[in-house]
Amino acid sequence: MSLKAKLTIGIVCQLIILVGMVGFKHFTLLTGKPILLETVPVDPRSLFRGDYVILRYKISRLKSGIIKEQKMPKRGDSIYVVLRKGDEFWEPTTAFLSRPVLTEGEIFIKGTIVSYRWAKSARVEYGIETYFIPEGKGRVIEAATRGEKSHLSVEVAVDRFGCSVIRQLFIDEKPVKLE
Amino acid sequence: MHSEQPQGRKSSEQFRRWMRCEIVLWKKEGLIDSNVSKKLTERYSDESGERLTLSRRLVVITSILGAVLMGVGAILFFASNWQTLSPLVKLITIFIILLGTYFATLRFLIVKEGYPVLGQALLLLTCFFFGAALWLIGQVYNYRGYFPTGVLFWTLGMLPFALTGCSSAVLCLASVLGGVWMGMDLLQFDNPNAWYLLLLVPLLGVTYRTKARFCLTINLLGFSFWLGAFCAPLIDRFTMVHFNEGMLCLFVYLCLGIFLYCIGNLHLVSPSAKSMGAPFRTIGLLTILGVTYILTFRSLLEEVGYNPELFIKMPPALIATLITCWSLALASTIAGTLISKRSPEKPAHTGWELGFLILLLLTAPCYLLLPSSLIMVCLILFNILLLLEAFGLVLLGLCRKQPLYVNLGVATVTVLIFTRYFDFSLKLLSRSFFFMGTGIVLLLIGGLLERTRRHLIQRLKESRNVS
Repeated sequence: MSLKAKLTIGIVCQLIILVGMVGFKHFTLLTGKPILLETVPVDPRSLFRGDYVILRYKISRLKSGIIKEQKMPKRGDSIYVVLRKGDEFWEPTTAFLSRPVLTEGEIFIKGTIVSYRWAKSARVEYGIETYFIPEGKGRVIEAATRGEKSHLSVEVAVDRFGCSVIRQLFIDEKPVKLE
Repeated sequence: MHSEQPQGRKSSEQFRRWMRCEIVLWKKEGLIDSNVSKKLTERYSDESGERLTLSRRLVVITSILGAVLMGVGAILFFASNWQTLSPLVKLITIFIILLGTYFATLRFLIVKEGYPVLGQALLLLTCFFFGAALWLIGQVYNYRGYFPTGVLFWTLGMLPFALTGCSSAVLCLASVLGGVWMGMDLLQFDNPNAWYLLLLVPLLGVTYRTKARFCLTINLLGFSFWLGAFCAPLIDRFTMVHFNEGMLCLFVYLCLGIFLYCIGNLHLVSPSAKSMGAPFRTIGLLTILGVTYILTFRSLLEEVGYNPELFIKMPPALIATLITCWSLALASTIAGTLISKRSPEKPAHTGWELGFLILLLLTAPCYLLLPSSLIMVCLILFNILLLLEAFGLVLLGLCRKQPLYVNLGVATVTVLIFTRYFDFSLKLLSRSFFFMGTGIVLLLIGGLLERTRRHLIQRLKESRNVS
């Protein structure tokens, strides 16, 4: 194989990976259903890591009664959480370790189990726990995530595979503009 | 036997090389003494070649350093949030920069053939920019802050360049990042990812093909770390009760260390593969020394609560696994020694080496059977064992003219002395006297050991020059 062919293969591989990363998230943004999720206060010691904010949702901690599985889930397992719209936010109803069958008005969001305490609760991450922010803009969001004077909610796009992407942050129902 | 004098000018490379060989023969035959030999060697040294090698090295180092600095700068630049640009503009900018780098790399590596070193440096820069692009895209779409998959993507993106032998620097970077991904994934999920082996196998293949010893060392370190992470939960799953997984892991690591060392010896079977044995021997020795060093700590041994009932309850599958590890180490020891003896190198004292390795293997099962009543005896024996290993390495290094063995041996003795000093002095002396006294003792010991090490290395060099 000539050097030119080798380099071309390498460059094409890199471009495929980059386009794939962009395409994967963009597909979810374009085709996903927007839902509003309620956030919960975060431990202020772990709030900032550099220039991004850690977000925690009500659906990040699931009571074990919601998980409808016989076998005990373990760390690293994928979990599919079925959501139904409440008054304002989407709430979890059930959760399964495989793709569930949905009824009308339901969607599912895919997550990964981070920890599981038998008969108590499971902590789940959905890939939407990080939000990058410009420098100096974090204080407003920080206060909102702690629920000090305002409340933070997040609009998330969820596609038919359960993959999710953050679309917009809201503080007291007003969209947050950071740029 | 004298070779035929090459025809041509006196200053030609061939003539110089011929002269250097003749000078060695003249000295052996006693026609000239060391002084004259040295002067003649200097006169006919490969000056132009050395100058060329030096200047080439300078170009390589400068280019690679420039590429690394640019790459790090790019990553830092991209890592800070771009406040004024929209996500779309950010993406377009990064793709334009990346395509520009690809173009420059192709141009200097293929079109303009007179700049191979610059082309290689640009290829490395391309890989850094690719990493920067990954993290920027992650930032735009709010991928996780802790993103081991990003490191995996970075490694996979470099893999075609690494596997096709385009650049040894890229191969090294891919090896390092593969290990980093494995470590980050392990931290996230507590279990080692088996896909790391799938990544490791082709990297090892290319490492051998290109004789990249540094990359081989990195990959062996990654594999050793992976194996330990693999064994610990496996042992945990096997045992129904807590059976002191630490000692079982140490047993497995000792077998691994001996296995790797003997694989290094097996490389002596072929002159072309000989040089690739050194990383195996190095990692193997470090593992063996590391395991023995850990066993010299009282706190660790005191945690071992020997309980015959627990040992009897050990599942057969676990016992079979441990026996398999031990047998593999034994088989590699015997094979390695046989190959060493039959190789053209014929390293010195292979018998002593074999004996010592067999002794280590025979004592290894004792780690699992330590009776709590004999803890102090075991502690003393392990300290003596470590000293024997260290002195054995120094002697072997002197006999085989291997500075690495000497350095490892001296370093082991140094670390052991310092550790034991801290162990005992901290308990016996008040804090202020401890720190002052320790400082003075450390300075003295450090100076003494450095002098001893230099003396040993000097002796090695002199004996090499003579031969």
